[in-house]
Amino acid sequence: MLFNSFEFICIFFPLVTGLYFVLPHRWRWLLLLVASCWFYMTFVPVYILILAFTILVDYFAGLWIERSEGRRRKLLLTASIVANVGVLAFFKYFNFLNESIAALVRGLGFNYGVPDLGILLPIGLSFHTFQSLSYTIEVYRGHQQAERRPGIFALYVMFYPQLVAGPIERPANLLNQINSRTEGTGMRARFDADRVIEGLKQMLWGFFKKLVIADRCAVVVDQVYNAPDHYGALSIALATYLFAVQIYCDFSGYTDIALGAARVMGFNLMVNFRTPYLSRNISEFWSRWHISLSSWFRDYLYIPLGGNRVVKWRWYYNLLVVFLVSGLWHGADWTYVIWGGLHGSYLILAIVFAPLLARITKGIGLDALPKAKRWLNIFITVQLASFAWIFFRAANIHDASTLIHRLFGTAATLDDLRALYKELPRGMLDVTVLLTLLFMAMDPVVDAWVKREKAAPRGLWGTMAYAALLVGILLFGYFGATSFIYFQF
Amino acid sequence: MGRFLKRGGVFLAATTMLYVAAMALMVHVPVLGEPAIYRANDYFIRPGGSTWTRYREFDPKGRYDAVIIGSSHAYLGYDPYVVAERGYRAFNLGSDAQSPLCTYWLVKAYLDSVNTPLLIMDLFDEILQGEALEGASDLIQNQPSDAAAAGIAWSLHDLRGMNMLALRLLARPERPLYGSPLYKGLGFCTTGDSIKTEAGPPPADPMPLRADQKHFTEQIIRLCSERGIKLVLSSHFERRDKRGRAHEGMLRYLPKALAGSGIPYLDFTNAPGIDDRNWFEDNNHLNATGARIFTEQLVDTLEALGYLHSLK
Repeated sequence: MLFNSFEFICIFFPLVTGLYFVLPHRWRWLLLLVASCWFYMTFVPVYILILAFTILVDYFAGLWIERSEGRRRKLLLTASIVANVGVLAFFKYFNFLNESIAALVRGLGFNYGVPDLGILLPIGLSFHTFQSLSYTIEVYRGHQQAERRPGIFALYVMFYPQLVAGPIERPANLLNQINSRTEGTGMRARFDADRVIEGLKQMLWGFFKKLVIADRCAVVVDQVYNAPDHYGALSIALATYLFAVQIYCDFSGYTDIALGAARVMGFNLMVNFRTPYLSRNISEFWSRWHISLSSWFRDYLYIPLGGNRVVKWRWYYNLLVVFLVSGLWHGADWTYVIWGGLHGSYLILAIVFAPLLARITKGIGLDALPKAKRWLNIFITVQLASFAWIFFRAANIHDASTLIHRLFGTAATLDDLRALYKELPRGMLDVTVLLTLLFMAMDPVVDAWVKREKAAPRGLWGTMAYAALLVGILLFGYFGATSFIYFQF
Repeated sequence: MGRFLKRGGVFLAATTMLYVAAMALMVHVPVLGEPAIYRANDYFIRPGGSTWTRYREFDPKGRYDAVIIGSSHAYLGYDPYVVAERGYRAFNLGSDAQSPLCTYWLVKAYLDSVNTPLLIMDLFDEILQGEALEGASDLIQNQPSDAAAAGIAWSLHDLRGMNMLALRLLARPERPLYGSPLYKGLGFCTTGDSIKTEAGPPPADPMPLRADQKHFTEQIIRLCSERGIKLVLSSHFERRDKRGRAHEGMLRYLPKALAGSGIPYLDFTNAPGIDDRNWFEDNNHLNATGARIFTEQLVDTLEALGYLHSLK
């Protein structure tokens, strides 16, 4: 069930939320668990068994790890990691590995006959696997008590607002809210009109990002990226920038809907985005983009590898490994690996050349113009991130290299843009670009409102501002219940 | 809860007010020579084209021997001039991507046993497999009946239907913004050119038919029976890639829909001797030659069945 579907907006969400507030606190977990199962089973019902397997393994692993000491404790954690990663590897990476081996073996002139598995990737597999893993690791580290009630643990893994595309929660946040003993918080929340309205406003902002910006941008992006050798530099550059906006609005839009839906019921999920395209460097970008994943990798991979408290070459190695794995987490294809590798390389180069860049900026007097320096850094960061998105969006490496070749190797002519304009539905290109620019100006302001970091306008002006968002969705929204990009991960 | 409902009510009132104001503004403020609303979304169709002309040429108070209805298959493939050569008066009410969901409301608004003793409704697999949005957006803006427009908009069960209806009610254009160079008259459009390419292979499996399109097909059958309109369902010639397996979904469904009604389904999809290269304008539609040959065969069949009677 998609958040942007009639079934979710008009039936599932109001019904589940209504029942949630009507039921006594002690039964709410059961309602949410049943609703989450239903939500997940509307995609491919049988894949609930994979979730059940992960839940069972990590539920018992948590209990046994807590009771164990020394080597046995480590062994149980390893078993949990192997089981979780094994499921992920089988469903997500088998075909990728198999095809890569086949290409290699055939390239060497041998026959290779292992067929691909004819299976669909279970939706949100990477998200709930990582969420479940964070639980066993935290129990192992002694930061989290093992959960004794299997239903509560299952709800922690399956909580429907963030089940299929995050944020990847940690037990210290979500599990503790589910287990809340304090009246008025988490599972013991009362119906509070102000909080419910705040949640609904955040959902509305998420729908605006998804339906008005992401899905419109997708039409232009798909037109260019589905015919990479048909367009010239300007069209490819425009489509790439629009993809940068599309993926941000698609994913952060989903997150806002998830956070808003959870907030309506009294849960505070972790913030996943903080206007990432205002970052001054790639390191900052990763502290503002998909925060729940980057902090997961930081806590459970980068720091265990030694982080930056090692010799320099090892530090670079750690960075590269983390970003290559992050690329692979996103998708089983070499394009994602290259995307991750590019981001790792950006970070390493930024460290290597930091002293030189500092000398240059001082030498040309940029340090005396902090605002100009800030905007120049933002501009450069957007260019680097956008270039990497080419690999993320392209169907394969061949398409990506064609796009890059044409982006830098063909003349930038207006005829190229005119051709794109004519091939798209009437008004699609101009209105989409205008709406995107408007959105980029609005985003830092509205984002701070919905995250309650800045005071939103109150009274009539506040009502009119959100009414304008809804009218924007009604008139400019690209309806049709298209899926969210990150569902495939 | 009372506080929540009060604030919700204020929000809905503000949204309604802003919606009407924004819509009215975009309907009346031109951008690049046309009202801005036509650039806002692809389903805000500009007034004009063959549907505009066709539905104003059709005379609901007139008497036709047969009316043809359906999608572009109908208005490009069923030639009323060929029917006229055989001594009958016919009119073609086909329109772009018109599916049963739309056809039902058109029949309800325009047709009865006096102006339409015989209704020939074109059906093919894809029109029962797809959503009705494209056909609805054309008809809501371009045919004159408010009742039909409201019915179509409501039946979509989609916010876009509300938007289209709001545009119709606020715009009310007196003239079309563009015409159709293909429009010949009597609701018919014609193209002389042909695709001149080989058709691809048929798909492995037919797509499932949509529940709402099946529902409205059955509603049309019921409505025609109530109004005393004799109904015939028909499919015109298809190129190779639309025959065989592709067609099976509809062949499985129609006997159930027509059971006990006595309504014939005249299926020319797999008729012998179809010329894939010269009878089609594109992969889907007949050209003038194909339409002539098909219409002649259709009239022969209808005469043989005793369905065509001249009112002259």
